[in-house]
Amino acid sequence: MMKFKQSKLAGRFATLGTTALVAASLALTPALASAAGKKKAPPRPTKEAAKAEPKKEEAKPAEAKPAEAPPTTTAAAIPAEPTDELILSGDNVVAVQPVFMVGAGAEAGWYDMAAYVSGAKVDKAASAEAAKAAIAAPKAIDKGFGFAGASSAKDVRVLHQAIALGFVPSLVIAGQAEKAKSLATGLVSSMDALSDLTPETQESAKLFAALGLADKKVKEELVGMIFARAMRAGMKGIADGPQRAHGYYVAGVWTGMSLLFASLGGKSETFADLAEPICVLLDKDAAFGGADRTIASHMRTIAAELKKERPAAATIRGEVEAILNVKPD
Amino acid sequence: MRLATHLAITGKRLHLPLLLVLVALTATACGGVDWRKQTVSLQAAGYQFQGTGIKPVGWNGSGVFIDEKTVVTNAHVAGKALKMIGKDDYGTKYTFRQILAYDGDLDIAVLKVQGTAEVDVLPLKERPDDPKDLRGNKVLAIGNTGGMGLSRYTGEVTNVVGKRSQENLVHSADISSGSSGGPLYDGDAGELYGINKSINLHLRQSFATPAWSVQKVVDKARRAGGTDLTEAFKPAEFPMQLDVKRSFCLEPGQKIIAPVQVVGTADLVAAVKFQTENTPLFFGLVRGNSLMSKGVISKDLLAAWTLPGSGVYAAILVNPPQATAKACGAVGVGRMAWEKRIH
Repeated sequence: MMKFKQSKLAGRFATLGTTALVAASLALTPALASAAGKKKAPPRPTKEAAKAEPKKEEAKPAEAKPAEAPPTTTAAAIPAEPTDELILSGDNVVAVQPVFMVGAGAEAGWYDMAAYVSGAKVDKAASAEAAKAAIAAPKAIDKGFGFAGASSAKDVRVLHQAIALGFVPSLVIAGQAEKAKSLATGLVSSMDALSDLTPETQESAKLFAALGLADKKVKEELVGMIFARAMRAGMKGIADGPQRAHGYYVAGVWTGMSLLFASLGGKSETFADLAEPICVLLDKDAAFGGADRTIASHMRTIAAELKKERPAAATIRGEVEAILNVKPD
Repeated sequence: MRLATHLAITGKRLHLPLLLVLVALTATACGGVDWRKQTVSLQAAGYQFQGTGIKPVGWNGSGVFIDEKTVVTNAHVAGKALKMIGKDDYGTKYTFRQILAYDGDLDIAVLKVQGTAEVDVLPLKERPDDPKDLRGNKVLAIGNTGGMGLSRYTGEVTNVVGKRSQENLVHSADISSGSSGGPLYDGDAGELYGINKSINLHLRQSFATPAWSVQKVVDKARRAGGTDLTEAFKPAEFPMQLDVKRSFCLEPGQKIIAPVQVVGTADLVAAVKFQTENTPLFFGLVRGNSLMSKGVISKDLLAAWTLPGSGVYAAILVNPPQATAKACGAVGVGRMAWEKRIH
């Protein structure tokens, strides 16, 4: 079994706690050393394989390595350990299940985004770029869509609808209420595009549109909460199906929202990191076609830009529009 | 309450020495609690998950006495600790063997101290009608920075964000690693505003669970009998909550990947349930381009990894290219739910 390399917490968001140290290097009191060390070392997992029924709440960890020799000749041909290359290569991936925001900082991570949106001042030039892209979105939605070998026209309509939904917060926070209301009104009338999504996911879409229709000033932290809800609903929707439609939904919402983060004028690593699980989905999952790899490439460019100290809004707008204009395979 | 306790003197003429004592007591009360006594540096001995095994480790954190028997800290400080000791700023040492409550979502744990501490009852801030009214209030944060003992930080509340059941208090006190679980007092240390839990390096802001949310966990702790740390965090059997469950069928050579975005530290749990027999699978855990763990499974598997920090990881299952049969099953990914163990 490979050991974890002890390292400082990576990324800009860090839990403060626990400076994790190996017991050997920590100046523990004798009592603690005893608890952490050999005398009272935690019990090893049993060798019995766990009843790992996913719905079961308590289970025992299994000893997985070395593998017990399976009883059939078929299985006996299997090596005791995979090569690193086999695990690391991106070949023959037939399914991808993204999981967003896991960890002690996960809840705070969503609020971190909300706080960022609340606290930062919108850059006017950047928000103008967001508005330009938002204007392009309805045109793309009206085109009819037919790209991507593995995707149905309806799936791609979900993508474009979701991108446009993601634009709404940019316009609202930039104070472009009329544009936001106009876009949201159009989106409400085309919600049938999302009819294949789970009810929870459709609800999250309605909340996005409602942001643009609100007469009162929107509390910025709502944006982070609605975004969190959309991503979680989409993640569960990918597992429950239909996979492609929900995959496009999370990709679209993230892409649309990227213009908001661009308009805030600083780097947004937690938001940017959300892109990678989605890109792996578009890149590798057999349910997605070649055109989707192009979309993943554009999303990665956006994510890289958002990790810069001063993201270029024009670059991000260009990438978003490129996604809206991706052609069929 | 503290004043009422100390000054319950009626119907007698006060003499000068007594008056002086009273004045001193009143001054102390108005100045708040003695944070040097109320706050503790914590050292924990426990373990990390490493797939299908564990590794003993130790770590540091902070905590605060809310009364003579009870310390509040972060769930991520108490989690997986089999023993904890604490020390206040005067050098008084404490031992904690029992946990009374654990809330992973609020990141709050309540510990019972062995014996009795000579500390004040610490009032917990009640939720204002509009918590955002707290913005601008001065705060005092105490934390066991780098495990070097208690450090003192000052700042002010900058925001309160999040839905009502899970609000976060954002403040500008520049706390750092080791401060997890430490108190965020008002500027005079007269009441507890929250429990520090994380920092945002980019925003240069700190996050705390507000005291009114902490109160809910404390209320639960008051009703609890207490669970030994060694029982609550016993690694041989662990409780889990799977966020995603998905079925799969893999032809020989095919893979399923679960890319996971991790924020902060995490105990990532992966469960595999086979639907086919005698169809062993390769598994791997990858961070970036680095392989952290790999192996072969031929039976149902439950594995957990304590991940060292934020980033994108990927859990991978492969039907070996040498296999001759399709492998089907279900995979789940999620987190530990220790709260199910604590009563």
